[in-house]
Amino acid sequence: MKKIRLNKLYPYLFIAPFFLIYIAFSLFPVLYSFSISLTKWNGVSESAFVGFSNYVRLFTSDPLFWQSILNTVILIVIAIPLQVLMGLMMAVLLKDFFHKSRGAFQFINYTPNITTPVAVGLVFAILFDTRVGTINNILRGLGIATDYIDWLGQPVTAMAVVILLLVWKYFGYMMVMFLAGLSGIPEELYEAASIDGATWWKKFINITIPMLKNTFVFLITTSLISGLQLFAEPQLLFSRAGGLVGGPEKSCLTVIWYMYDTAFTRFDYGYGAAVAYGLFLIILILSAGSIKNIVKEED
Amino acid sequence: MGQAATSETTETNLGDITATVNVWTWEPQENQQAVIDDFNEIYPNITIEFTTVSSADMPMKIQTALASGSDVPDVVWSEISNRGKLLALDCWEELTAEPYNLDESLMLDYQIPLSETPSGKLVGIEVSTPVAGLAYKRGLAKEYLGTDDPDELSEMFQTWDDVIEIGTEVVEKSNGEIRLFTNPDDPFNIIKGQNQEPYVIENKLNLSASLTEAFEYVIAMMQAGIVDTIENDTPAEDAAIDGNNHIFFDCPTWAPTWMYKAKDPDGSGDWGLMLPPGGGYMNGGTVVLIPSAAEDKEAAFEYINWCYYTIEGAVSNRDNLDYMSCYKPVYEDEEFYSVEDDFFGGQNVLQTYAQTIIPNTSVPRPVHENDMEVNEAIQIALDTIENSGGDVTVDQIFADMTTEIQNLVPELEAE
Repeated sequence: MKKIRLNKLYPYLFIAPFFLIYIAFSLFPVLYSFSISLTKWNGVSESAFVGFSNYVRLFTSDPLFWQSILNTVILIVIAIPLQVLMGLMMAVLLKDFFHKSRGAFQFINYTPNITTPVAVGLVFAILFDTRVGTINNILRGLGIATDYIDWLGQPVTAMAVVILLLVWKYFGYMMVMFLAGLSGIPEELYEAASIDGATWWKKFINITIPMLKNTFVFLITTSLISGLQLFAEPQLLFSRAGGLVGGPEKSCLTVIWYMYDTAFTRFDYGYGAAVAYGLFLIILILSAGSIKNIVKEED
Repeated sequence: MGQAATSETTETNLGDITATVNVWTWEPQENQQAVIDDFNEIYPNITIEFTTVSSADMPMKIQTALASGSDVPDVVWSEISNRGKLLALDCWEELTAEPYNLDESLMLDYQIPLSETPSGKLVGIEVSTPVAGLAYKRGLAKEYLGTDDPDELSEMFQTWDDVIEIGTEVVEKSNGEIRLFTNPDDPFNIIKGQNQEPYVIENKLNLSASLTEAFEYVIAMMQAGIVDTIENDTPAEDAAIDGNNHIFFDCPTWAPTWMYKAKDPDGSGDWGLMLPPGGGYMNGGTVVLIPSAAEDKEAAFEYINWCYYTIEGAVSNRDNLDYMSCYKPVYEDEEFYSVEDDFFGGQNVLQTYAQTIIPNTSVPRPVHENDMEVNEAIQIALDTIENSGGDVTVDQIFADMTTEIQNLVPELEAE
């Protein structure tokens, strides 16, 4: 009798660690931050309950929140396709044309992905410095530019630098994932196509791309999720002493950066939590359609 | 308690205090070790341990420590840029109250508003009084201004109108090669620092009274072409300090050692220090605070009091770090800060600060919880002035600043 009871308990015991960790480190913080979002709190003094007023301000009278959403969307909508395209191109080139040097190229292209964001931010800040930056010196040396370009001081160029940084840092990761996807495509398909007289381009369009569908879906979905949480790269790029939050005219202020600045720099924890929940609601609305489709497909 | 607080403490019981004082600071301990060693001669049983926390991260780390109640440091360094927010947390020991009884009247007057909470409690002691003068390149000054003597230069530049007038002549004479300042921020910070009006009065912005003069002059300087547009804290600014195209640089007490000697190693003898037009001003600065939740508060007080509020501590900081005390009695001796500095052409730099600049420095505006937001809006405004070449009005600037600030702090009323 006792043994039967114990046997029934085992499954619960085995799954308990996950649930305990989930409750402690995910569920509790999520619920607690919601309760914080209903208060005005500086993190140390007593908090004051303010109801939904933080949300009212967020959705009705906070232009910075909407600007940060728009900035984030612009950055990821431009950066992700470029990352995917470059990653795919590199993967296919390495697989088909660089058999001997493939390892070296893989290593070189993947290195940016494992470089710490602090170093990346610093290097790009030096590269694009107005007066002593490498890029301006090259452009002036070649006679392409006569004046110093203030790359990090103007909204459009600052965004372009952030996009370049994101593409440079993440296309190596995409390349590795595409290489993994490519290795799963049966060689017979290419051989059969070759016998039928298909060119490299036709094989790429009609075999490689369709067979990489799952890799595409995985990479784009995970990139969108991490893209909406974009923070470290732009923040570190503009993190020099006295650097403005959000870059020039707040053009590179992302939602998470705004949330971080509100809560942890300006000590408005209640409103910072509301910003986080605001983003959560927007993601929920945006992804409602895709979730519906996934559920439909599964049915 | 410490010598400045009460006099009856004997050396015997000072040596009896046993504690480990954990200091959160961005300064490496090796920089301060000589001062700590001097402190330990009197307090042999107090161990000082520095934990490196960057200035930008300090508020967040402090809040985390206070919220969790663990690893609360005994001493916290607080830089001016986020001090308003930190002091508003109201979680610091009041140093003039029991059991510390720090004598506020012995603190340099202009230092007090920079060390008080919004409710007027004195909670901090300055590490090195950040009063600032104007550094200049002697070679350029001699060539374009006719003299490199600090007194003659101060006489020549008594007002900001003088700066614009003479600066225009310098730019013409040098065919635009030489400018007075590297960017508008430097003169702006001086004029802003000389103004005593608070940015915010009773939840209402007070931009016109506190900033109009600074913006008007900087716009005029930009239009006259006497300031360059090199961004602060960039490699380009480092190159300008090392270079030979700009005459004046702002110069708080920490700058000769940590800025100009470090960034212009070959410039020995080419630097000078003078009283800026309008007098001295405050630039930067760091106060030390004791969290109320700290474990070894009394030992922490002994440490900060000895280092920064006694003659002996001032001697140690002067001799080891060139730091200047906020402890008023040291300034009674005219020779206390007196070291001829070869890097500054043999000028007695510390004495210039102590005897010429400090007496001409007025009490600054008190720190405020929303300093950070106002300063951020100021930086955006200065960028606008720079990018437009000065083609912008002060009214436009204030309108934009008000919007910027209210976006972040909607509770603040416009003027």
